[in-house]
Amino acid sequence: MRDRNASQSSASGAVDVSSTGLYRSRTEEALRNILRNPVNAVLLSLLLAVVLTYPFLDEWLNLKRITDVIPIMMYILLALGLNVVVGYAGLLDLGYAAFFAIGAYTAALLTSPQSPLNLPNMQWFGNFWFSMVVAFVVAILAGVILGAPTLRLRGDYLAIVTLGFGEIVPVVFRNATDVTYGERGLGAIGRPAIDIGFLGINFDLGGSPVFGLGNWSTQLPWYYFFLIVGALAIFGLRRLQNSRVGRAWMAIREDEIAASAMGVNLVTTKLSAFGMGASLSGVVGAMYGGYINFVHPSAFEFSTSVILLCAVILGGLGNIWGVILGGFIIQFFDRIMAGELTGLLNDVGTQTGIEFLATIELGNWRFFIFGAALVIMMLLRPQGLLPNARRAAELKPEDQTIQGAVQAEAPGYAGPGIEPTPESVQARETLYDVRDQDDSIQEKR
Amino acid sequence: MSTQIADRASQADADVLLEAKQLTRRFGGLVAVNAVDFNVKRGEIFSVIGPNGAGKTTLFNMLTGLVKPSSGQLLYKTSSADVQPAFLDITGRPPHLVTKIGISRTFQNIRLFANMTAVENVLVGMHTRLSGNVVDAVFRFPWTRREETRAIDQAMEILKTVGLDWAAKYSANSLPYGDQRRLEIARALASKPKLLLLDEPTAGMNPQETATMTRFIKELQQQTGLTILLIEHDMKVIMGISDHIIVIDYGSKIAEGSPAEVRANPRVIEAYLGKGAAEVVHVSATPALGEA
Repeated sequence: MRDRNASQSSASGAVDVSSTGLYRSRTEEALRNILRNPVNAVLLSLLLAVVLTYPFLDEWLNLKRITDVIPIMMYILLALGLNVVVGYAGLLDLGYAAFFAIGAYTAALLTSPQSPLNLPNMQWFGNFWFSMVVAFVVAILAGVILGAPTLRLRGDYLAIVTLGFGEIVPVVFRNATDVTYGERGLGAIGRPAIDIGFLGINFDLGGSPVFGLGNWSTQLPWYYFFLIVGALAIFGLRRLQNSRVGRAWMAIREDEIAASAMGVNLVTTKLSAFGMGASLSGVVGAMYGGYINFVHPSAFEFSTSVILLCAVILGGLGNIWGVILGGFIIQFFDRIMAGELTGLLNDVGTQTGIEFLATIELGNWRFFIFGAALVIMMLLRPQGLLPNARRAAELKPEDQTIQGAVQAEAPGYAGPGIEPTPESVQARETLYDVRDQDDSIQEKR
Repeated sequence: MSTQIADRASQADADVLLEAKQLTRRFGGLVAVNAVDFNVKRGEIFSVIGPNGAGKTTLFNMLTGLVKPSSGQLLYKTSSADVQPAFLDITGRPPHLVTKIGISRTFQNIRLFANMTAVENVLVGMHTRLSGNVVDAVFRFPWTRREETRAIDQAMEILKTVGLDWAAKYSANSLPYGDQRRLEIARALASKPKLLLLDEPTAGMNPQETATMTRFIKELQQQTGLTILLIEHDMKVIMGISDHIIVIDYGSKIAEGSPAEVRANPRVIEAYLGKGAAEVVHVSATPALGEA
C-alpha cells in the first residue's frame, strides 16, 4: 500500500484530492504538457490569437471567407449540443436538426413581420433577445417531449424514434403553411441590437438584411456574437461534465442498470440530457434565423443531423475539444476545401485533358467523402481524433490494464487482495462516525 | 419452519430491518422465487445460499427493485424510532428510490461504470445524497462547490476504506479484477446504506483472495454496524461469517437457521449433493435442527 502510494506520487504527482485535480481530463493534462514546450505554447497562443482576431485578418489578407467561417462556428455549436446527448449520455439521436429547426422557427415566428403572431398588442414582438430566450426554453421543452417516449428505448430503437422525430418536424413546418408559409419560408427575421441609449451607442449587430451578408462590417459583430456564445457553451458544458448531473449521464451511458441501482433516476436524467442538448441548438437556431434572416424547412433535413453526428464521431465522442475539431474539419471541408480543391482539380483536368477531373464538382461528392472518411476513421482510429480518454480505453485493441504498470512501479504490489493496512482500517472506523454526525452532505439552502 | 420465523420475529421485532412476506416471482411458467419469507435483523450478516439457478439473484433483484415481485410483500424499517408506520412497503419500488432509503447493492458480474474513474464511480454511488442539478452545475454556486468538495473528500475516504485510494484517478476497467470487486463495494457504500446487498462477492476469486474478501466483509460489518445481506456459493465463506442463513432451492426456501443448523440439515445436503449423499450424511450427522 505504502509502496504503491510512493510510486504513484513519484510517477504522476500525489493523488490530487482537490476537485479540479481529480477531474482534469486527460486531454487537458496532455494540453498542459504540450504547453510546457515553448514552441507549442507559442503555436497555441497564435491559434487563439487567430480565433480572436479572425475578422480583421480576413479583411487584412483579403480572404473573403468570413461568410463561410460563421456557419462553421454555427455547426460546431450544434455539434457541441449533440455531444451532450450522444457523447455524454450515450443516447443516439439521429434527429437533432429538429431542435435546430424548432429554435429557428420559434425566433422567426416571434420576430418576422409575416408571422401570424405579429399583432399590434404584442409588446416584445420583434425583439431578437426575447426570441432567443424563448427559443432556448422551447427547445428544452421539445427535447423533453421527444425524450419522454424514448425513455424505455436503447440503441437502434432509440435511433429510429429520433430519426422519425427529425423527419416529422420539417414536414410539419413545410405543411403548416398558414403559420410558416411552407416552403416559401419566413423572412426578415429579427436581428440583435445592443442599444445603450443614454450613452448614445446604438450597436446594431445585424446591419442591413440579406444583401449585407457579403459586407465585412456587418459580419464582424456576428463573428464575435457566435464566438461569445461558443465560449459560454464550452464553459457551461465543461462544468456540466464534472458535476453530479454529468456523472449521472455518463453512468447511464456506461450501464443503465447499475446507474439506477446507485440511485440515478433514469427518467429525469435522460430527460435532462435531451433538454440540455436541445437547448443549445435552440439558441443556435435563433441565431441562425437572425443571421441568414430567413428560415425555410429544407435547411433542417436529415442530412444536417447526419453531418453533425459525423462531426461528433470524427472528433471524439464525449470530448468537447474533439467535437470542436471534428465540426471544424467537416465544415471546413464542406465550405472551403471542397470549392478550392474543385478549382484545383478542374485546372489540372483541363491542362492534362482528363475529362473526369476537368468537370468534377467535389461539392456533389461530399457525402461520399464523409462516408469514406468515417469508414477509414472506424478502421484506423475508432475513438475519434481527440477521444474522450475514458471511452478510448473501451475501444483499445490491447487490454492495457494498469496492473502491469503498477506492478512495474511498485514491487511490493502483490496483486488484488484486501490486506488491511493501518490506514484502511482507520478509515473504515472513521467512515461511519463522520457520516453519523453529518447525515447529509447536501448543502442546506 | 414456521416456528423458526415466529421465534425470530417475536424475539426481535424491534431489530428487524427488512421483512419479506411470501415473496414470489414468476417468469412465464417458471417460478423463480416461490413464496419466500424471511426477516433480516439489524446489524447481522444474513446469507442466502442455494445451488445454481435456485433463484438467489432474482430474490436480490426484487429487493432492489430491478425486478418487480409477482406477489408478496417487502417491508423495510425506515428508522429505529418508533414512528408509525415504522415499516415502509417497498414492494416493486423503482431501484433509485430503493437506494435512496438505504438499500445498496453490488452485482454478481461486476457492473462498474467501466470508463469512469474509480472516484467518479464512488461519486455516482453518492448520487442520492447530493443535490446538484443542471443549474447548479453550470453556475457552480458556493454551496454547489462546497457540496462537491465534501463529496470528493468523502469519496476518497470511502476509497481508502477498501484500500483503493491510490486508484482514484484510474478508470474502473483498468483495475485488476479483485480491485474492481472492492470498488463495487466502495460504490455501494457511498450511498450510505443501512442494508448492503452483496451478490457473490467472491465469485471468480482464488482461495486466497476469497479469504481476504471474507475477512474484509466481516470487518466491515463489525466496524460499521452495517447490516449485510450476502448471496454466496462458497460454503466456506458463508459458514465463516454468517449470523443467519436461508437456503433456497428451486425458488423455495428449504432451510433456515444458524450456520451450524444449516450445515446439519439433510434437505440442504440433499440440495447440494443429491439424495443419496443426504442419507449417508444424515445417518452419521447430529440430529438435524431447524428445518426438520
